[in-house]
Amino acid sequence: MKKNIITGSVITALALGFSACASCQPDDNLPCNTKQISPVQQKARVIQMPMTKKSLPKLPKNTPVLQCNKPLRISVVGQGVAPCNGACSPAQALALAKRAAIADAYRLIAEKVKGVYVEGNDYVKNMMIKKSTVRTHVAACLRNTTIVETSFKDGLCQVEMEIKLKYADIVR
Amino acid sequence: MRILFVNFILLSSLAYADFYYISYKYVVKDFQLYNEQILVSRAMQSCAGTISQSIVFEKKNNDTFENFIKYKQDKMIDFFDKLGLHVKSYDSFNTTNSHTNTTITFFTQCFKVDFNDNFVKISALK
Repeated sequence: MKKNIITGSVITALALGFSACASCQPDDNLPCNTKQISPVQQKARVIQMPMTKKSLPKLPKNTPVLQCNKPLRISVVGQGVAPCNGACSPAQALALAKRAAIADAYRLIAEKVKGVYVEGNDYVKNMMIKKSTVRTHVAACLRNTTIVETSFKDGLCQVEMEIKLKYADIVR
Repeated sequence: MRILFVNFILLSSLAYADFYYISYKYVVKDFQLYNEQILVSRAMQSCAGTISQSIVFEKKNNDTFENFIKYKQDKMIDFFDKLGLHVKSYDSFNTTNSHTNTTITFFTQCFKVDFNDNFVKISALK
């Protein structure tokens, strides 16, 4: 008799457990043993759900990240060529090439810090690509960059430029 | 008496300082310098604002301020860099060719200029 009562209670307990699990929707990711949520709380959760989805993407290892207590240094190498092909003096060629290299370095820093707009166009005719163009566009305002090193060889000027990013400057 | 004298000196220096509008732009096409221009214009009335950053040059000959700036262009670019330079770049890559066009601009800003016989002090206003 006692045995029957024990087995009966065990079966009812299991049945109750299974019924509780059946009430869980298959879409819910929550485990079944979590307590019941009221409709208001559920609504609040639904509203909050997109916020949680906006979390930061996972960055690859060794990616430099700007921290509040440590300034981040970004270094680039810009290249420039003198516009005159042997027509101007070496000093003039260096000055002109350096100016072009500095502009290239500015562009590279802007690309690294702010990002690049990329636009691609493919023209297809009769199931064949006739023309393919990629356009990139950068626009930024830079301040306090420093030229670390300048080298000029075979008409090519290379300028190493650096920018120090501070958390306070960006937040402001 | 001394305070009055200092005030008088300060006021006179303010009154006799010149104000200039300076802008700078250069274009680089396909890694080659294409165009560069620095524009200087004397302000018709004094500009408002406090001095944020200054640069001092030694002056040797009797040039005008416009010519002096053109000689000291390299140093001026470094100074403009401290104030903020705008970068715009358009690149296009095709199956046959690619083009790069970068424009560096320093937008027109008013500067207080002390143009003396021995030195020139250019101060940016904020």
